Amino acid sequence: MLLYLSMLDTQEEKDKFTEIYEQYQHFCWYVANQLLGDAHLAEDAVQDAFFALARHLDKIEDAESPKTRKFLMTIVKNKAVDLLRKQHGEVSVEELSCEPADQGQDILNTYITKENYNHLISCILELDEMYRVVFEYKFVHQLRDTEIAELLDITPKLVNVRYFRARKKLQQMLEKEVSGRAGK
Amino acid sequence: MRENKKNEKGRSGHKEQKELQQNELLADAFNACMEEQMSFIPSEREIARMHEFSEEFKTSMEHLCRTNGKLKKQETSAHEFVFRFHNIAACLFLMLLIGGICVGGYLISENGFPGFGGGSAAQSTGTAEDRAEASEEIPEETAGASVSEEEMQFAGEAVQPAPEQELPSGTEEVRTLVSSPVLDREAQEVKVTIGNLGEETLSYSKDIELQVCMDGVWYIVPKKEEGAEETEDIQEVKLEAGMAQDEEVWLSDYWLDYEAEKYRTVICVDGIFFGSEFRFETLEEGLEEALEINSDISEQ
Repeated sequence: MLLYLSMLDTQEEKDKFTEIYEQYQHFCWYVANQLLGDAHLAEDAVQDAFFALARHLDKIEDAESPKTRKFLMTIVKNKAVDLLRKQHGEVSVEELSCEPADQGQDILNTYITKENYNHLISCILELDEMYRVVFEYKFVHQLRDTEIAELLDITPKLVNVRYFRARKKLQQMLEKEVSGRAGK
Repeated sequence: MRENKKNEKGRSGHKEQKELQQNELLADAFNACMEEQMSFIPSEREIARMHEFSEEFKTSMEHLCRTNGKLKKQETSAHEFVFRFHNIAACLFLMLLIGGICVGGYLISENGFPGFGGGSAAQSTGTAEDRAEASEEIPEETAGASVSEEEMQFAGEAVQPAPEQELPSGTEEVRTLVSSPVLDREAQEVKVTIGNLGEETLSYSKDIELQVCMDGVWYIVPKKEEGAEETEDIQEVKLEAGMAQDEEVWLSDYWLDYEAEKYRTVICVDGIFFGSEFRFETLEEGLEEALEINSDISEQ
């Protein structure tokens, strides 16, 4: 009976996976193609994204909800960025050393205020996708470091490294943006 | 002292609350940016028109859907399985062939065992009565053969050959496609997508026929309750230029044999018949999938 139930569950998951794939395959390709500018490589990114999604189907409640669309968007961007980095042979020194950035210099929070909301938006829009993806996993999809690590295919420690690098980058951009506006 | 501690607690509480608010603000901002980004993305249909996925992609994604994301594992195991299966099949075939030759030879040399392959030898050496019996059997057999040219037995039902054997799956204006070229044996329906790639509106009949291929000949698969279906009006559907429409063929309506070589759906679009082929997964494929599922469960 237990075996039957677990098999039924798997069948349900299979249906869910197929439903999501049929609904978002083109959307995912478009997002990947925007980043990669290569239709064939974008297909690879879509495939990687769905492969990753299959291991995190439990995070999807309703295939048609906007949340699912956003989650897929982040995954596919993440996979497209990975392909881009692989193509350029890009591995940062910081990541190789695996040491988190100095948290003492992290003053991003001082800029995260309601008054700076518009600055924040324009900085996020300018922020590199590699960093945005980490923020999105953490704040939009509310995932833990271990879950993000599985999706990014890196260690949780490296997730922390990327997160602090992303914070640092956003902080630098906000500093510039806010001081630029103040100067005007 | 107490006041100091209270102040400290108050400060840390205030700090936590502030951090929480900042995180909420960050979440709001990233959410807003994602929505902004998504607002520039066209609809699925428009993107589908923009780009057609490569065959390689489609095949691997089909595989991925069927195995629920176990593509890499499945690929290697399927390859190994096919290799092993071919070896076993070849060995079995050889054994059967050798066994058949030996038994056949033995029976012929023993000169008895009517009805076996060596019947002609038995007839040539048999009595006049035997020959008479054999000659009586011949017309029945030939009569049976003439029937089998017309109709065949399929899933316990007599099936008629399809009037048109060679059917296209599409033209420059029309494209028909089944949802999956290999169906799960538990599949309830097969989905057929009809795409109008031309510039004029097309019409097609919702009455989609199911055909089965046996020994290279296509036969019409009978419906279980044909009488009830015939009374219903057959709907004509208009399909505008550049649009695609999905139609479902409910498999429970038909007599099916999962072991059959292949099936196809036949749909009439503007008077032209189009066929889209599919087959059911073999027992080996199903078994392998079930084994993988079980191994996954035991791993968990």
